[in-house]
Amino acid sequence: MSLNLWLDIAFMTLVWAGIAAAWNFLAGYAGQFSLGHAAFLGIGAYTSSLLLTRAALTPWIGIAAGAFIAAAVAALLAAMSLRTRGPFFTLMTIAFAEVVRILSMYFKGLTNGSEGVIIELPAKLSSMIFDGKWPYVALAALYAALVIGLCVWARRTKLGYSLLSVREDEDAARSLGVSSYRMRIVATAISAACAAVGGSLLAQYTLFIDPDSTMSFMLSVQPALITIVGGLGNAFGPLLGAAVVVPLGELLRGAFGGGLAGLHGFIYGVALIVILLALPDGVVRVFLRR
Amino acid sequence: MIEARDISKRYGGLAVLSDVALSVKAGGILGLIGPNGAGKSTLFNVLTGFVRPDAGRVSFDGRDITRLSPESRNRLGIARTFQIVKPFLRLTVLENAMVGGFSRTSHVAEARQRAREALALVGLQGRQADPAHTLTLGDLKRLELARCVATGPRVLLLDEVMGGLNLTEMEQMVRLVGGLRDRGMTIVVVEHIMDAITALADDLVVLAQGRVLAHGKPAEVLRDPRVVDAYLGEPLDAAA
Repeated sequence: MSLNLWLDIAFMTLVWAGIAAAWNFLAGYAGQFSLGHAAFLGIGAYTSSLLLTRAALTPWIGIAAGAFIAAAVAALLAAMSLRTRGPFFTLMTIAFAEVVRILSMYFKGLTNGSEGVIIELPAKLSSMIFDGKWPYVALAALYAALVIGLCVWARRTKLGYSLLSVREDEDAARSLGVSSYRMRIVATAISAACAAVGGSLLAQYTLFIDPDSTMSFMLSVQPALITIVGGLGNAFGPLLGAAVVVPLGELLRGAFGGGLAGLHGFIYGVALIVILLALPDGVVRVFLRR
Repeated sequence: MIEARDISKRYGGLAVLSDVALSVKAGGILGLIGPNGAGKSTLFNVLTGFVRPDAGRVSFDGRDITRLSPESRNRLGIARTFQIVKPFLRLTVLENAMVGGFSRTSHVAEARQRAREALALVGLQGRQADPAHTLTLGDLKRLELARCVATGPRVLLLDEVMGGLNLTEMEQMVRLVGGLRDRGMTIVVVEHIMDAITALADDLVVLAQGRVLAHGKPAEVLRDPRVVDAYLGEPLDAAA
């Protein structure tokens, strides 16, 4: 197999490690399972791409803008979902992501609708577009490291203790002075901002986005799948999960994708089931004592 | 310190509390007793902010706190335990107490220090690194107390901390709660176990069917025929 294919897999693995780590911040720490993170990927991808193609604003700033917008939208979502917890919160995130996807198709003037946005610019550092794949892999590695680093750091701060206490028992947390409602808003906003950066990076890599490629429901499932395979609530779980799930999917598609239709998907599914049965606490368990 | 006035709370057609008044004076231990369904837990939840009363007013140091959230009340200096313990099961003993410590500070080292002191006070310093789910019920009750103490409360509301404890554990808990009073905390205890109540309480309030039936010194209250009738069933020798 060619080097380019391996670099492609490395890039995808690292970006998805970062996105899953962002998801894990909300699900693993705060106990809120989102199945709507595709919306934040989409907000990040569209914000940086549109600012680049329409306003010639460098993605280095556009990515931050996308993260900021995603955080604001997520805070609003968390505030509106009020005290919904567990499955009710999850349902709200699914509905929310669907609304964002439909809006992105509806406002054609802004987003080009389902035609999507093509980034046609020469390779340049300021445009965050590169000829080879190595810079992208480096960028993705930096992204994953930053998000995972944020999780490791936050776990040791007051924010981390507050989130974990709310996850474990909300009433007890509140009786000890933890503002559970505010904590959930903060966690959702941070998680969304980090995920949006991943969405922007994916857009800069493929140089083409449309509602389906950035906001389909499968993209909301992916970070949950990766994190649960790797180890929910552990800062390094998403990295391990991505290292298993992403190459597995890509390699199977490469090996079986041309043959019997759906065979690679079948093997992929069976492989994931086997992994989850063998390691219900995630791959991270292999590296932990006890 | 804490004062509740004219508290009423209905759930559907059922009046759980009717015009209940309660005054907790600084220092000392107030015992709250009454038969099952008397409204003790609801009154506790009203005082700590988990239930909003339909009518009436709760004040703390003269300030109206009727509409304050539980977390805001904790930051003012009110802490509580739960009748059914609510530990953070997947956190360690130290981490459990640190959540309480963070109520007063944002610095990790300071929160850890507060947590260690609180754990030492309840005698759990040897279990710091153990996950909370490995603790016995007696230890979980003490952990819950330590978590409260770590928030630096001025008033501590204890909801049946003796429940489910064996005799030795109960004696330890009585000493512990008495020790907290001696450290200047004001304490309210809801309790079914009369030995514990008579050993601890400086004042007693008896609740029955959502109303205050009697209040005063334990020795007098427990001899009150209405209290005997509604709650004790027969005169309590220990109180005489």
